[in-house]
Amino acid sequence: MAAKKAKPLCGKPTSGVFCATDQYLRLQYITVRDSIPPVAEDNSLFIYVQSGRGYLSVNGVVFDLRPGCFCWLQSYHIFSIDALWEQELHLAVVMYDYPLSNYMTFHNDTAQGLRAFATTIPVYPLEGQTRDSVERLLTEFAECNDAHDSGSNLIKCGILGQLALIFFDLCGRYSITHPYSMHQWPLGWSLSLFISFFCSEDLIPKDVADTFGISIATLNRELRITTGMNFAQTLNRARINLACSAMLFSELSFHFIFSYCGFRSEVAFYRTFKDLKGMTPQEYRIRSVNTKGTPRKMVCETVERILYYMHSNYKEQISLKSMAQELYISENIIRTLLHEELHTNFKDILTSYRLRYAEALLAVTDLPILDISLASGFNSERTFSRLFNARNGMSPSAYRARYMGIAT
Amino acid sequence: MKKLKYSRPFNSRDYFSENLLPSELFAGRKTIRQQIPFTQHDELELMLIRGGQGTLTVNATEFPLSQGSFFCFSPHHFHKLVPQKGYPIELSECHVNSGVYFYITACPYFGSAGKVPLYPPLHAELNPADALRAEILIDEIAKECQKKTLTAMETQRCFFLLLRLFGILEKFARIPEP
Repeated sequence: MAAKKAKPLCGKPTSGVFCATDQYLRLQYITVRDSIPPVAEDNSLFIYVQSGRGYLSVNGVVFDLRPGCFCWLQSYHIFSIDALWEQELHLAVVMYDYPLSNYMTFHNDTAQGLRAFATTIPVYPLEGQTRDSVERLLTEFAECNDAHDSGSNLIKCGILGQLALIFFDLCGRYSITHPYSMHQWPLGWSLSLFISFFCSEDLIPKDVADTFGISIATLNRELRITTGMNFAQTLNRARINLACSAMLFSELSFHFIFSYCGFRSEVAFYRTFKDLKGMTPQEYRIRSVNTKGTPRKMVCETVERILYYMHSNYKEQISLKSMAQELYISENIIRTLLHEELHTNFKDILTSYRLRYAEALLAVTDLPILDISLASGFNSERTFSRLFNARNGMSPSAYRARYMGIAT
Repeated sequence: MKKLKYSRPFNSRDYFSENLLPSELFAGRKTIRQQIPFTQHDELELMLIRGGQGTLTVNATEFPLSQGSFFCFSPHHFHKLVPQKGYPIELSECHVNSGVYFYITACPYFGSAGKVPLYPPLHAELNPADALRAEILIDEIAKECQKKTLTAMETQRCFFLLLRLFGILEKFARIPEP
């Protein structure tokens, strides 16, 4: 399967071939008649071989491609695809962008799974039930390929997650029968993987060369052969990709992101970012939301935590202060977030939850209005009636007289 | 060769992997032969009608039921099921912590709807193919829920199935009047 000696790259790798900014959540059907020159994508992508035969060269290692082969390529994989002589390779390609995969990653034991996943092969020939499930998932994805409404997007995200889980499962099974050993792979492959894996650490060429028992010159040469880049370029690219994967999370400041990705100073981060992406991090953040194809938005998990807390506790006597204490978020941050993200405030949301519950109780029970107001979290019947009147344009008893008949 | 001395692969994962899914999840099938009085749950309930006929009353609104009716109830949706005589209602239901729904709405590809509590429940009439798809998804979640403890992978799988289920509801839901 894996050759000991890496196949050198022909030409400089290009990016944006399969993972352009207008290809989010979009299944592409690609026909390879001859070959696709080296590609270095900034996002991960799934490739499923529908028909035809050929080769996939990843970081200098060549894998056979035949119908039913399922690949998941990462940003640290520099790859090229060749079709066999006089054959056409028909591929289904879909990008699984890193911000989305970060959003869908749970549990702290994922790091262990990631290690197993990153140290195994990126191509698996599928058979039987697994092949059927992958094909079924891709068919379902294709059915809503051109729709970009929220519902279709959720379906597509769920399918991508399921494809990733299938791949994790394949890797897990493979890693049991083929334990990882650095010697098994060409040096360039192991180096590239090592640098991407630990790019957020304080990596210097000498340490990495010592880890592998080679000189710095060999380190750079081997990296150039397989990835077309030297140590510093490979490391910077990996760090900037890591930074980009966190850009869609609005809570993460640039200051936090640069130190997270292993940069020592903010200036170095800004300079490297601009060199590689051709724009500042601020511009990148704005552009990552305003995409041409599928609409995206920033992820703000704190707002969801706030809403969840209010949704679960609106019947209790909660206040902005008590919520801030429970969630360990300052009152000012809560105020600002609700205003910026939802254009509303704490009291408005709380009152609307309470009034909805009270409306339901008025319609389906014969409880006294005082009891309803207390059960819905209001302090007094008077406050409840005033707010109810303002919202519905009628008193609670008038509302009950109008709607209760249907329920009983 | 030296042993790997680095321990934190893809450092940023530490931040993202703190997302823990709320664990309460229940899914299954039911056959309703007799009227069920008004009930309400503190979690979200997804209900898909697989067969039978009858009516569903949610607070003060009545819905005729048929195969493929799909609803999502919040805690303020008191609902009552009345099957028609001789046509018991067969349904698949899934109860999920509302935190999951709020987490789903944080998805970068989800529009900003769903923040305001809706008075009528989110409701869709699915065509047979999509109803079957939703039914299979609920059955798969039910299969996972039967296990006593879920591994990280199984929990993630449940989340992805729920994403697709909410996706189907969101895609075909009629926008309720305010």
